[in-house]
Amino acid sequence: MQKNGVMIEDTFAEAFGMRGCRLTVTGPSDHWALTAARAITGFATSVIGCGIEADVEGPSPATPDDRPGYDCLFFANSWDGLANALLNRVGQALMTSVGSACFCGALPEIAPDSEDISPFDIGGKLRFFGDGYQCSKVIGNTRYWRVPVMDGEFLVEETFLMIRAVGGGNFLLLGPSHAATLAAAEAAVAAIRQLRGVALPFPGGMVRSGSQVGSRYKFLKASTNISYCPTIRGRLSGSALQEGDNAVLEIVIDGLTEALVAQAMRVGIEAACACGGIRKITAGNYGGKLGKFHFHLHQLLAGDER
Amino acid sequence: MRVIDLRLTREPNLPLEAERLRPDSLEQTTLDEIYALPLLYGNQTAEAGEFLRGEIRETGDAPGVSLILRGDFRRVKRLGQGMQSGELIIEGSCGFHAGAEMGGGRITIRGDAGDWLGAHMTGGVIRVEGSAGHWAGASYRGKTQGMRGGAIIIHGNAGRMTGTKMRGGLIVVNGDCLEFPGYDMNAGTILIAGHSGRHIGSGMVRGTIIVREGHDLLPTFYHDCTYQPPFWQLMRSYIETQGLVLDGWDVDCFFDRYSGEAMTGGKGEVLLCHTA
Repeated sequence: MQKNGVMIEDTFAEAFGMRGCRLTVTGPSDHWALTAARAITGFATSVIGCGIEADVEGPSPATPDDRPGYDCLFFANSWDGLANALLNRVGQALMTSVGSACFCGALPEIAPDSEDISPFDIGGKLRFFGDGYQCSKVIGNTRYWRVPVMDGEFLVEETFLMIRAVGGGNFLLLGPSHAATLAAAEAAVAAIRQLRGVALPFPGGMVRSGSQVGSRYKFLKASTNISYCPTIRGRLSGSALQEGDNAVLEIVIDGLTEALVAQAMRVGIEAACACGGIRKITAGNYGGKLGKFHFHLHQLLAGDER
Repeated sequence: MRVIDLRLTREPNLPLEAERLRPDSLEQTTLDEIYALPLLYGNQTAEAGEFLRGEIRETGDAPGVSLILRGDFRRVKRLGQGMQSGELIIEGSCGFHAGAEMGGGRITIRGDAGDWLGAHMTGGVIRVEGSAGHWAGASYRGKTQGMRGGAIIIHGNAGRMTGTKMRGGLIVVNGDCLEFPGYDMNAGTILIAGHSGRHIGSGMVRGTIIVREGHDLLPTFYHDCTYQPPFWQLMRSYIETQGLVLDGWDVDCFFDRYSGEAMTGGKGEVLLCHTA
């Protein structure tokens, strides 16, 4: 398949079931809300080394306390993994941020009575930082914890919602130059960032050091994706690159639902193709044996988003 | 929704105890069965039909029952007592114990409410467009916990001992409140938008009382700081969703925070609104 002169390989992206969560972070000003959001989503590019993947989704359309706020998405491999990581991050990155407050983000993407939603506790555990001077406030049906801190109070909702999500949707852009590939990737990221419910956890929304499972070293469970490294193409017998493929960038997408990941992939690929300058778009998979979700590029572009 | 619309045709000379008149217990009841409900009238038993006449109609597909009572019910006690769901609208005033021990649903009182409004309630919302009597949201004498959840929104004034031994929930008084609001309070929130009588939060163990500045507090309350509580906007928005806009209580209000009462542990707080 060709799209705007870009070859779309007949392959699929292989994605995995993950646990996802949306947090709404607010602050006294837009600057401080964004600072808090960046702090809590920092060092969260890949579950391989960070244990969690996260991204600032964008400004919250409405925040519970009517202050400036940002929605943040978090994904991890397990319920415990996500709950523990968020407890640490809210405690260490958010509570420390000036004037911040933390709320459970709305999940309009999921039916409220869905079995995929499960509650977990953050505020109820963080409250002990108050050393006995913490207090709660129930407003409506929601309990908030008020932890005394040096600039006033840190307000955090007691219970947050976790859902079964999808992580690892991806596509790779192969181009003749670093500049052309980066321009196409930037166009793809900009288009995907218009959507809600999806996260691009890598820096700037793209990754240059895509990984393969395993390594020749026993102590390493993942290593560089040698098939797509242009500098060693000549040394490999099975490189996925052709003569003239001088740079590869990958867009990795986590989403709250399978449909959102599919939509983000389609939007991103179309934007990259419209930008032009690249030769080919492909996707990463493991032969279909590891991941539950398969996103076939040709089907996505044909409008079949499941 | 099933709408049961009843009008008081004969004003009782003696107190009439009408705890059977609650929407969740009338879901399948016919009009004749409602008329035959036995109610305590003085030291006798009377049938509801001796005082009430009306109709039942179905409106829309929404589930539940809306019970509308029209007339002056000031001598009728325990309306909506113990109700768990549905809607009770009293187009007039009502007597003691309205909504006491209720666990859910919604009561709207267009006139005034008597004493013990929402006593021991655990959920639901009571909205009084007039004023309420003494002991709103309180505990009955000898009991250790008053209101434990839900909300009482009073557009007018409230009497003495509002929220006595309250253990949770929210009481909002848009007007003035007489003495001892939050007496022996254990948790929850009381907001008094007008003037409050003396002895605010006397004996309170925990919980929050929010009042305007200019009130004298007991000497057993310590001043902590002046600040903007982060929960204030959430509380304010919630009250607005319940149909009451607090005039002059802005989003950016500053509050003087006092901890107390020291005689009972000092874990409670009184917030005096600065800019209202």
